[in-house]
Amino acid sequence: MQPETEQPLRGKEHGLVFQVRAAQADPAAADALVGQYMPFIRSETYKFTHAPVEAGHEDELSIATLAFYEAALSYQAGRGAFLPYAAAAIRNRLIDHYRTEQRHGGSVSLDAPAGEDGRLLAETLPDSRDDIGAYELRQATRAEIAEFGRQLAKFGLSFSDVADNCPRQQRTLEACRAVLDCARANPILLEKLLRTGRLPMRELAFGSGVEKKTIERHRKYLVAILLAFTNGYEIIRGHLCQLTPRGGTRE
Amino acid sequence: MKYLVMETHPAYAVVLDEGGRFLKAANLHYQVGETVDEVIELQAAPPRRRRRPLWGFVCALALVCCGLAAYAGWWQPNFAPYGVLRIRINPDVELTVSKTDRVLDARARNEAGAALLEKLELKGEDSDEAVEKLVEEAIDQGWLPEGGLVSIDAESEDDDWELREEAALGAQLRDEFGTYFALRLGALEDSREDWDAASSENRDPASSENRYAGREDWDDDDDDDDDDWDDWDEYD
Repeated sequence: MQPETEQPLRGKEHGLVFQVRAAQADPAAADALVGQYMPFIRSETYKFTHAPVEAGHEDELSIATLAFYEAALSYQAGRGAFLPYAAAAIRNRLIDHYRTEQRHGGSVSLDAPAGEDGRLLAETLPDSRDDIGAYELRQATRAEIAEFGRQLAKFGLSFSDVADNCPRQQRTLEACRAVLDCARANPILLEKLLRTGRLPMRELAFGSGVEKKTIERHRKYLVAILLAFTNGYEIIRGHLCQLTPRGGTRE
Repeated sequence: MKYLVMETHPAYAVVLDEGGRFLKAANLHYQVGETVDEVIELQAAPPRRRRRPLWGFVCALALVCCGLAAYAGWWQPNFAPYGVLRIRINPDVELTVSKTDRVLDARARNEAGAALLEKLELKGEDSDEAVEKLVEEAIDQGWLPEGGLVSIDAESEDDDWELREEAALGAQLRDEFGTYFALRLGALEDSREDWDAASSENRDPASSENRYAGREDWDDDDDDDDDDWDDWDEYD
């Protein structure tokens, strides 16, 4: 016979598994799960840093939160409880982070004290930045990204969806770039995308020489990147400086 | 490489790099529209396994098929009894053999046979070698003098196998021992006797007479009142 206290614990763990499954499919559910378990994440971070997060360990907390999210994405029910798994994932991620930081041990932090007067090193450097210009640029960028997000929503997409659908292998990325080059060389295809709300797959496959199956598989990503090259997204296009058009596309 | 922050979440931020990749990265207190030089990328989760409800069934079916193939292709020919060889010298021995002529069991049918098998381990041997060993041992123990008789009978549901097995054993024993002893092959002899009997029956008129022996009143169903054999005599 099992102890009476074990039953509620098992029920709680069972509920958590459902929450994790929901988080694997839905970014909003993932945000809710992370918000609910933030005390646990802080606790695990504290176990590693042995200092409060507020004492200069904000980055560690961010990395621990990312590790918790990664654990939620990769968790498989039936392979043990989630929380010990997430705790191990957080610890491993923080160890990796510290090892990476140690490799940059020779560099000097701008936050380091510059002298005896208590000023930081960054404060002693000449300030050549145009803060007002940078603020205005950021505001314009935010507005453009918000508009871009609204346009994506018309296609039923979010930035998280696009990131999940983004090709990871270089060869696939090259294929997607060939599709983009084809669309840029044939603006009528971009217009068709905006007009119909659908990716003109047949024309893009024919024009780029990329297999239709590859285009279908990365449809969300291609919609986003093609949309960025329609009118109205100058800042985003300016950021994508590595996406220069290449030859070899067919009209 | 520079990254433009597109969206922020409690656990991660979606950033766009200069090469056009949308990435999920640790949200180090980023703000949308901010450009950063370095990010800590989300490590791609391993692809989730698709549920395959028929997987167990397919595995079980494959195992059954493998089992059947092993039974039919290996176990049955090697380990299932296919026929019996009976060797009679004076010792009487019966060998159970598989389709691949492997001796599965050796059994004595009389005391002399038991004495013969005491010194021999025939299980697993090829049937040719087993019979040869039996004959050699019989000679050594004095059961088979020169000019003696060795009788071999093969029995199986497969008539062809009986004939093949006896012919092969006969040829081998003759090669090995020459005319040291006389050999009687059961199935071959039986088939020859059947053939001879059938032939002689066809040739020998006495057999026709014998067919009607004891039947003194043979009515030929004709209208005359002659005796049964009258018509026969007239015919002769």
